[in-house]
This record gives sequence, structure tokens and C-alpha cells, in this order.
Amino acid sequence: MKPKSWKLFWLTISLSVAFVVILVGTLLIYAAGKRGANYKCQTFAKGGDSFHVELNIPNPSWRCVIIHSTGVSTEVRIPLY
Amino acid sequence: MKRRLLTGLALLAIISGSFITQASAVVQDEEFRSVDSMTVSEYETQIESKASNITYIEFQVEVPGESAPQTFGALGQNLTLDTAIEGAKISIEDILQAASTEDSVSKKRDSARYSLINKKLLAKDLKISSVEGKSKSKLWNTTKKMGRKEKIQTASPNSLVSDQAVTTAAAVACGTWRPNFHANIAANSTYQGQRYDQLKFAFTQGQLDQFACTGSTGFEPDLVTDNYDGLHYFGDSIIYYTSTLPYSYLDTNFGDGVDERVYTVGTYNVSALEPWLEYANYIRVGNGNTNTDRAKVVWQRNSTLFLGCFAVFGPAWCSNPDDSRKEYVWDFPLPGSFQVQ
Repeated sequence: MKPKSWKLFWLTISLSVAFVVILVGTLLIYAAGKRGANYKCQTFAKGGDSFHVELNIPNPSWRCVIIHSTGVSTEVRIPLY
Repeated sequence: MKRRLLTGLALLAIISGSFITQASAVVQDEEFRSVDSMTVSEYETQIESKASNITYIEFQVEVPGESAPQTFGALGQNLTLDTAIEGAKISIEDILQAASTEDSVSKKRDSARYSLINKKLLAKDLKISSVEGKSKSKLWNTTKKMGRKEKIQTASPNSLVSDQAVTTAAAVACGTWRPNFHANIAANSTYQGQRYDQLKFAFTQGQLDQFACTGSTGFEPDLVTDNYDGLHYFGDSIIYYTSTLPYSYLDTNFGDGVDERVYTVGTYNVSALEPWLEYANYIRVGNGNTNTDRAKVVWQRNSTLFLGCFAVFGPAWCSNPDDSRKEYVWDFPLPGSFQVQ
């Protein structure tokens, strides 16, 4: 089966490839940033604390949430890497 | 005129020839990464004979009565399977030396277990699970497709979008997932000029159930050493590691800072973890710039970044941290033994 328009065919292929590359690239940049932020976050936590980082969309930064062993939680804002 | 033209052409041919030679030299040293599970003979014929420089060899030894094999990994330059096996034997000597500081039950158990593994190493009764290096020719067509597919639960790309809500909800709704710390032992290796650390821990059934509750699929026990003063007991990079964790991998140090050095062997399939089974991670590193230091542990549960990420980038690059727990801050003496009974 031949495509009706080769131009359209190649345009579709190119756009699809570009979309996948951008998607995977964005996810890897997100992962690298989160990894760095997570490392930074752990330096703020104390023994027995649990912590995680979240992407703070409205104010572009990472939000480091530390839940202390007492149950009280604190947040630290970490700039995007 | 003709002569000038011929001389010019000859010069052009020499210059382009040198470029082509250089280009082909680059092609000849193409980097490769194989995550195929293969036998020793397959490895020798398909990889070792064709590779120009092997920088990483990971292999697994089955232990009778245990569901997960023990993983051994060697890192360096111009590695061979024989040097990787030699490295495993040194690691075992260190582990048995570390066991001598523990109770008699642990000592006896480790002695029996590792004498069995030593016999298997001698007979080369093992499976190569991962190889990295440089090769003269492409190796992809000569090896089987990767075998890391069983029991792996991967998050869909959609789950990443709502990661924020999931993490927060999981942290509230689910209980304690971190394992129980057993021991950390650091000392000079039996191989001169190197040092090792062994971290031991175990999960209860309840803790393992929490992984299912949170939806996390991976787990990393991070050994973190204090480098705020620029003094570090361990050298820069891991030379050898071995782990009893199922589906284990050596984590990358990408994104880690300099104040706290992180050494990690994790698992990307927590559903294969067993309750009440003591897991042990061993790393061997070159000597650092001090003889005394201190360390702590950070337990981390992860999910997969996106579907298919492992197959392309490997588990070290695709683990998305969901939640972590920090314990025993600077309580581990380096060298020394820190144990919880």
C-alpha cells in the first residue's frame, strides 16, 4: 500500500519521531532534576525523617517535603537544576 | 599543470585517507552495553573475543534453596571474566572476614553459603547478566534479546503526571515500608589498597505489603558517607560489588553532590523480595584520603520513570524516587561495625 502523498507521509513520520524524542527527553530531564533535588532534600532531613520531592508547577521549583518522626511535616523549596 | 593537478589530487587523497582511517578507528571502538543473560561460553565467543576493552561485567550465581541468585559486578578497564571471578573471590573473603565479627549463627550460615558459591565460581557455573565496554564490531546482532522481563511492574506514563498526588496520598495512607536495619561493617579489604562496606537489612511481611500499597516497584538502600570536611574513607568509585537482592543493579552517582557520597546497589523489582530474609550489599572501593570517617543509611522506594525506560537506559537511570527515609545519621563508623540486635 503506497501513501497518497509522500510529503505528508514523511511529515507525519518526522513529527511522530520528534514528539517521541521530546517526550522521552523531557522525562529524562525531569528524572535527572528530581534525582538531584532528592539528594539535596535528604541533606535537610534528620534521622528517622521520611522525605520526598514534588514538582512545584505554579512556582517552578522542587518542593522537598520532610515528614519528621513526630508526624509534623516541613517543606523546603529547592530551585530547579 | 597536469603534474600540479596530480600532486594536488594525491595530497587530497592522503588527507581524506587519514580522515577515513581516523573515522574508522572511532567506529572500531564503538561502545556497547549488553543486558542479555548468557552462558560463559556464549559470553566468551560472542563478547570477550570481540571486545577491545570491557569496563563492566555483572554475573549471577544461583544458590540452592534461594529464589534469587547472588549478583557480582566488576568495574574497571580491560576486564576479563577471570578477573571478575577473582574479584568475586576477594569479595567473599571480605564478607567472611566481616562475618567473623557477627554471632555464631550468622558466621556458620555465611560460611556454608559462600563455600558453595566459591565452588560454583571455580567451576564457572554462572550466568553473565550484563557487560559494558568497547568493541571492534557491533555486538547487538550476535546476542539474544535482554531477559529482564519477568515480574517487573512498570508505571505507565500517565501515572507520572499524577505522581505528586500519588506520593502524598501513599505517604499518608500506607504504613512503614522501610526495612529493618541489621548491620553495617566497613574495613580494609583482603585485597591491599582497597576497602569494603557491607550493609545488611531485612523486611517483615508487613513492610513488604506497604510497597504494594504505595505502588513503588523499586528499592534502594543508600550508604551515604560524610564528606563535608573533604575527608573520605572510601575512594571515588566502586571497583566491585555483590548483592543478594533480587533483580539488583548498581546505581549511578549522577546528580549526587560532593558533601555526601552515595554508594548504592538497588533492586528494580520489590515483588521478588522475601520477608525475614537478610539481604546484604557489599561494595569495594579504593582507599580514600582518610583512615576514619562516618556514614548513615537512606532507604528509598522508587517507581519506573516510564514504560520501556529500563530496556533503553537501564534501571539506574529510570528509577524515579517516590519516598525516602533517613536513619542512623553518622552513626556508622568507618572503619568499624554498627549492629542492631
